[in-house]
Amino acid sequence: MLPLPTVPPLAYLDPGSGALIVQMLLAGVAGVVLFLKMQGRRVLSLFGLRRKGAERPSEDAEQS
Amino acid sequence: MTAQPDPGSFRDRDSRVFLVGDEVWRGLSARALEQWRALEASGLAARWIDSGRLVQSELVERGPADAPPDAAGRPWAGFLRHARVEAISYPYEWSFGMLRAAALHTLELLADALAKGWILKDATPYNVQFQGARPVFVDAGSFEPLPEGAAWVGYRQFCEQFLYPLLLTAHWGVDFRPWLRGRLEGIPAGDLRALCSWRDLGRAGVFAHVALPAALQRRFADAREDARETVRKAGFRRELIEINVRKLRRLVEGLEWRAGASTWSDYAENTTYDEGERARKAAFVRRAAAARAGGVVWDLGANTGEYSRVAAEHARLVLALDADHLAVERNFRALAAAGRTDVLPLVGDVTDPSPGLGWRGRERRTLLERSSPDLVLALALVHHVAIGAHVPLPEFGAWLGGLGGDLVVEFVAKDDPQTRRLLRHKDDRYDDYTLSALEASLAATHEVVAREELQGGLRTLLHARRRS
Repeated sequence: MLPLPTVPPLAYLDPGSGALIVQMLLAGVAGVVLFLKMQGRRVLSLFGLRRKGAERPSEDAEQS
Repeated sequence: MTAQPDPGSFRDRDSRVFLVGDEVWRGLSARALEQWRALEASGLAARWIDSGRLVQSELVERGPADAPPDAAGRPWAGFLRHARVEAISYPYEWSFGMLRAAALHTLELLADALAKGWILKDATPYNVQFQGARPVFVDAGSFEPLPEGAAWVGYRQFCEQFLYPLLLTAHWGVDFRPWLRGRLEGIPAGDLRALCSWRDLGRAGVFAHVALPAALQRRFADAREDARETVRKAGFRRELIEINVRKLRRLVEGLEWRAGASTWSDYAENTTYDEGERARKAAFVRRAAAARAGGVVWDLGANTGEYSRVAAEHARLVLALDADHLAVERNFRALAAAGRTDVLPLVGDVTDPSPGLGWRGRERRTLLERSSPDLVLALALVHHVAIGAHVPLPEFGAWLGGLGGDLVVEFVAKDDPQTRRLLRHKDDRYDDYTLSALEASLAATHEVVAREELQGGLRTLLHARRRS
């Protein structure tokens, strides 16, 4: 059983960041959810949804 | 016989192809050897080889004595011996249907691989070859285990070298061959995106696979993190790739080429030959092919392959070359439907044949370097070359003579309706266009052993055997 590395080692192709990320969006709802999760708080706040207790200024300062 | 490294196999540090006489060998690094053994253990290798989808590959511990070392100068850890594909061809020589078949073949193997936790490292038509009309995957080193959380790294290459050329022809009706011949890396998303009208964005596959990746590429261009890491941390899963591959398969299966009628593709219907003369012409070709039985035949200007099939009765392989990609497509569809592996249809122009391309101009080779004909058919061709393309007939004759095989040449007189059609809008400056000039140009290398007149003398068939 081969140990599975975290990223393809010695991959010689440039995968293209757009091409990698679009795979999430194209895979339907499951992928889109992942994409939104990846964008994190920024997207959630765009939609007017905020997690409870996330509005303290000190936490915002840590994010930048 | 010394081992010759394949000039097209150098990018993958883990394996490299070289040729020893007629045998194809692949040197494997320790990692590649381990991966091949794991691929065998998974059952995938046997399944694919037995069904003819992956080229025959046999693991051999000790390779040829003079096997070239790897990039670091070390000897290889193991070797694969492959069955040889008789005539190598490239995607810029394939018809639309052939590129589509190669794409579907790749996606099918990818789906099989994913189901067992494997993936293809790359996704390029240069990993697919045709045995006649049947696609076969030849890069045994392209499979590797899919790491946790990894997206499909080869998807962009699949788009640029398979999907975008197919979309170009299916949606815009533009021949993809010059684009692939002009740029081996394929068509960039931005180029295709630039051609899109608002209406085009609604066509199958365009928004999802052209516009969206192009837009996301710009958005994430200056991200600090390796996008592979970004995607992995978000929790990417294998199932997402499987969903996308299924969608791609449906998309590619549904792509169609709405071809208009091209000038010479109605040849079979418009020819002035009657049944009796066609039979005589076929018999003439058959006799010439029998004289070189078991060899390789080049049918130049093969159109829909009528005489390619006659030659195939005696030949090992027939290359059916024509510059009209619609005729080649029709030939391919008929051959594929019959499951034939003895006639290989290709798009090619004898006055502008495939050049050497890529790294050092040798990564992709000229046709003569890939195949050596024992017999060449030039039926209903000389008038296209000498009058249509203005190549002096004696030069064309000498070129035919230099190909190294026997010849069957059909001289089409100036009074023939098809020649008159080519002359319609030109001055007749073709003083060297005569049967005797043709024969004279062949005399140094060939001896005419048979001739037959058809169409009341308007057409003359010559069978010329190469002088030893």
